[in-house]
Amino acid sequence: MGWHPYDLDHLAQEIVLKARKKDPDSLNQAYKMRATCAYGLERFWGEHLRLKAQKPAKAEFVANVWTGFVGLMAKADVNLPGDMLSGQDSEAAIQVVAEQLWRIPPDQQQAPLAVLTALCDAVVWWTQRLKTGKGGGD
Amino acid sequence: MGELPRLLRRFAAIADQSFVNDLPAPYSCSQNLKGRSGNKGVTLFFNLGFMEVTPTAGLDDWIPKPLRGEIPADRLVIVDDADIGLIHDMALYRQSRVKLADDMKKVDGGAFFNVEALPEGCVLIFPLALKPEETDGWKPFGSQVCRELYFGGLESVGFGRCEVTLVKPASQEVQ
Repeated sequence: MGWHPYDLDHLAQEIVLKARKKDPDSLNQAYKMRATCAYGLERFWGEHLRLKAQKPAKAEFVANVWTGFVGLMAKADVNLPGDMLSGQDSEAAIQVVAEQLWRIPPDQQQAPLAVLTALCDAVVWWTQRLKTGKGGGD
Repeated sequence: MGELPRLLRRFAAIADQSFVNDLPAPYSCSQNLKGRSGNKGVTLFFNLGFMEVTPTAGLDDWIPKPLRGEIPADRLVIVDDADIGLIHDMALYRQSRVKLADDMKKVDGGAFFNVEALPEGCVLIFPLALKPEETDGWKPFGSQVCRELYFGGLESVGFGRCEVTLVKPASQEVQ
């Protein structure tokens, strides 16, 4: 019983600091992640696929946000797939994860998506504060 | 069980003193509340956290009688005093606005501001005090008990539209 905060800012700060340490150029992914939220969970999850092979640091930033989010929702007994793949993986492997997301009834997607959006807002906020000034690009 | 909720106690004091002895505990909810049911009761999700609440009978007694048709009886949740501020804050309707310069397509110097408003559908309950000799003749809405009013002026930047219902409480304070 009672109120259980997700501590989004704590998680977001950790993720952004990790991304900055690995590659400051990866930080601009924060804005892209926030933008994908409008299109649903599967669009966000799919975002890391394109980056995995060519730009691993950027893919890792996206993956850390997704796995962090999956961990938060697990605390509330909502189970989402935590698998991170690559665009090079087999169609079957990608489809298995996508199917798991598509199978969630629309009314049960709303709450996780609202949390993901709030987490992305926190990640964007911390990105703006922790930018090194170096780097950029997509 | 924590402290009994302050806002409900206040409402009971205004509307019906007999309620004071029958206050529901924090984290109770309507019996048919729509939410994710699990072994810990019903889970409600918010942007910044989630809340586990326990279905409890009789909460709908708390809906003021004139509003029974309008307030859904299956969406009542009692929260702890420490949480209600955050919940209100998460629910606020927020908007950024600018004043444009009169002769150019740009922001007028410094005229960029944010506004916050209570979400549509909020129910606010407050007492009106009248002198005893005025109570019978006081009919601000004529024969009606309900009217749309606009609260505030320019300061309420378009958010002041309210439907006001006058209700006589079960018990009245006397001098």
